[in-house]
Amino acid sequence: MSQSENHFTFEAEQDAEKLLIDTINSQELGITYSFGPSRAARQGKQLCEDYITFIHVGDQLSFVVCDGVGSSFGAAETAAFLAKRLASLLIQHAQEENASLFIQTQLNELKSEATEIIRKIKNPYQPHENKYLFFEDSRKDGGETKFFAGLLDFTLGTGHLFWLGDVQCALVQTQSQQIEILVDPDVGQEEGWSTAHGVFGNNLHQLTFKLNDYNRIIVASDGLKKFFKDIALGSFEIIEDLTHRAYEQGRDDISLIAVSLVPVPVAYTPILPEIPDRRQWVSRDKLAKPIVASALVISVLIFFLANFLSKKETGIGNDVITPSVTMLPLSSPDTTDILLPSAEPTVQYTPTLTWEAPTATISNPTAVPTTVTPTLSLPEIITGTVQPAATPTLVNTPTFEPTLWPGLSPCQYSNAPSSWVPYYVLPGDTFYRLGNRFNIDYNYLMRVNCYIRDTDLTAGDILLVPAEEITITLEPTIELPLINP
Amino acid sequence: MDYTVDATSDTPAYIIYLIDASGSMEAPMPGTSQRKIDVVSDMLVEIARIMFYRSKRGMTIGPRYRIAVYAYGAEVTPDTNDEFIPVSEFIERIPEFSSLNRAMTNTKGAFERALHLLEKKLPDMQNSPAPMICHLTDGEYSKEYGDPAPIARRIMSLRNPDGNVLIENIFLGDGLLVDPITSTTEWEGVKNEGQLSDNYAKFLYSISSKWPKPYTEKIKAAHGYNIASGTRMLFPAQDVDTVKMAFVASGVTGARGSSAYEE
Repeated sequence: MSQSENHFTFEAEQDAEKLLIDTINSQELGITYSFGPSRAARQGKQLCEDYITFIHVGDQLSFVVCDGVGSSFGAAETAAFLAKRLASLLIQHAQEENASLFIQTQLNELKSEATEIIRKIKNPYQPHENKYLFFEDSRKDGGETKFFAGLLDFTLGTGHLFWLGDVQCALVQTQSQQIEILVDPDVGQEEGWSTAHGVFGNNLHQLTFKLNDYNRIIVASDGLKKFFKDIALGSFEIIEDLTHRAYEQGRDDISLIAVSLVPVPVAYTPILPEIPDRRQWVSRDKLAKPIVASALVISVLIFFLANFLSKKETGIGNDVITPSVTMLPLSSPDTTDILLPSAEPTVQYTPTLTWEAPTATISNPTAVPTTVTPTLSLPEIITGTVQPAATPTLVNTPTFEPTLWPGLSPCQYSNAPSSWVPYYVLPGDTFYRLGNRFNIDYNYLMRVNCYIRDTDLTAGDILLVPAEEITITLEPTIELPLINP
Repeated sequence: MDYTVDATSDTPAYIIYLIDASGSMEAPMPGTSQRKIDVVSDMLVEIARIMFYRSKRGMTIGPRYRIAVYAYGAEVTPDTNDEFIPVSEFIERIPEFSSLNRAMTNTKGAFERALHLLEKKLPDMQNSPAPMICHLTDGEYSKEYGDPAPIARRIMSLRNPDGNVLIENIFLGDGLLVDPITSTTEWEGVKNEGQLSDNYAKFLYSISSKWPKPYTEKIKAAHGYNIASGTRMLFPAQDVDTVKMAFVASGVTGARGSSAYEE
């Protein structure tokens, strides 16, 4: 972005590896913008097919959000081309007597220029391949994009909005704080702009308004409509969270421009720098993390099992044994290592001690044990009484501090019960299967973890799940010395 | 189980095409000079093109569909080597059925191969749309091989979380309907056996699934066909337009908006 006093421009970078989110201010306004390339775009496999741009010159601001149609040819290039040209056209010509007609005319005239751009895009396949032919066929139909464009004139106190397709816009009324949503009534009947056809579908939609009537304008390419209210009321954290989600598998690019008019807002300071790019903590394309996670899970299980087995072998009960039979030293009061029952001499003590299989519950043994410090409370010397049928209990339940866990979104933390614990998604996991495993409705599990579709789940994701219980059955045998009084 | 899962690169639609390539498919398609089998080849190209458009983004083709093809006469030929292949590969391997010298029609064998493939792959399809079989024929199965109906019913009893496996039948021939299709866009589908005037069409009716409502809505939105939900997935096709409608319908599991990646 370039910026000088009262003059700045911003153009998105479609090959950006990371999302952008920022707020800038001038005397008249504040602009918060976010640009969340999809997963494929951030991995460099393709260009982001959204484009956002704004130009602030003197007392005018133009802004455009374009959402390229992925099934068309050169959607990314088409979106970038149209956004730049529209933003520039609006600044230069918005005061035309019939702005809508002017813009529509311009849109139709731009197609030859855009077609030249589309013509130059290289077909990566070989001419003898059907794929090559199919792409060439789609090239003839050109690139398509949907858009929302605006011009605000602070001298005249007027605003103009133009749109085609289902790019979404919300206007917040100054007086009532009510939100008006602008939609394209023709969506579903092929509405947009094409490098081959110019404006297609129905006519361009337009709204002219007084700036005093609205104090915030929000335009989003995709996926934010249901959050407009929160965003309009200033919850910019939602923008950040949702923009992050553009990285999730199968999601489209998500981008947004929110213009605040009156009053000029305090700049939003995104907490983004404190959150690493998702690629750094969820490398879904590599199985390394799931494998590491699996290894850690196995380590935890081995750790606990080893402890149990160790206790079994030493004859020490698990954690706390509450004896109920009085014992006495075998030979002298100083001897403490062999204990005998204080039975009457005439009573035959039964040396075979029968134990019921003790059971212990471990919370979530599949989680990574970075915050687990299992400690076992054991009496150093067993004195006092022994209950032949003792039931050992684990007194120290491992606990987790989910707030310390990197890589989980604020949305997950806010939704999930505090007792839930992190879980690395492994290849083959689905919400359906995890729901069965954790005995919970999979739709609920999905919602709590802020996923919209089951299909978005990918190996390497981190979920919050109910703590899983595992019952481990031990069959210890302890032989006491035979006493023949 | 409501047939609402969308096909994505991670949860592709699985479709098996069973194509009758017996000698009778050499005959001309009614109303054209083309052989029936050539019409079928053209339709496979058409459905490949539709899948391509739904799977492309930028200059890449996502694996939004996985397809298997079996051609059958006396023998069953696994054109995709008994595997589902992604649409980008299918585009390059569209079967052409160049030689037809098969005097017999082993319909049961074809369904058995499909059943075997589904049983093998169903565990991989748990997040995907319910798999679909699209079976095309122009005549009765050869009795020597046995009745395919029990196998077909067994296939229809298989399911993933999205729903039971669907079987669509396309029957090429004349005089199959009491009231012939006059407009493919207005035709609502086969609601009951009484609409059929051919005994083998009635047999195919009995091994055809019912159209789930989400699919008929997608067919309407994407292609303008007015097939009613609950009607049988059976296309008595006496012309190319009906064959085209049937093939387009077979790819409906991937239909969703203008981009494979939109929310």
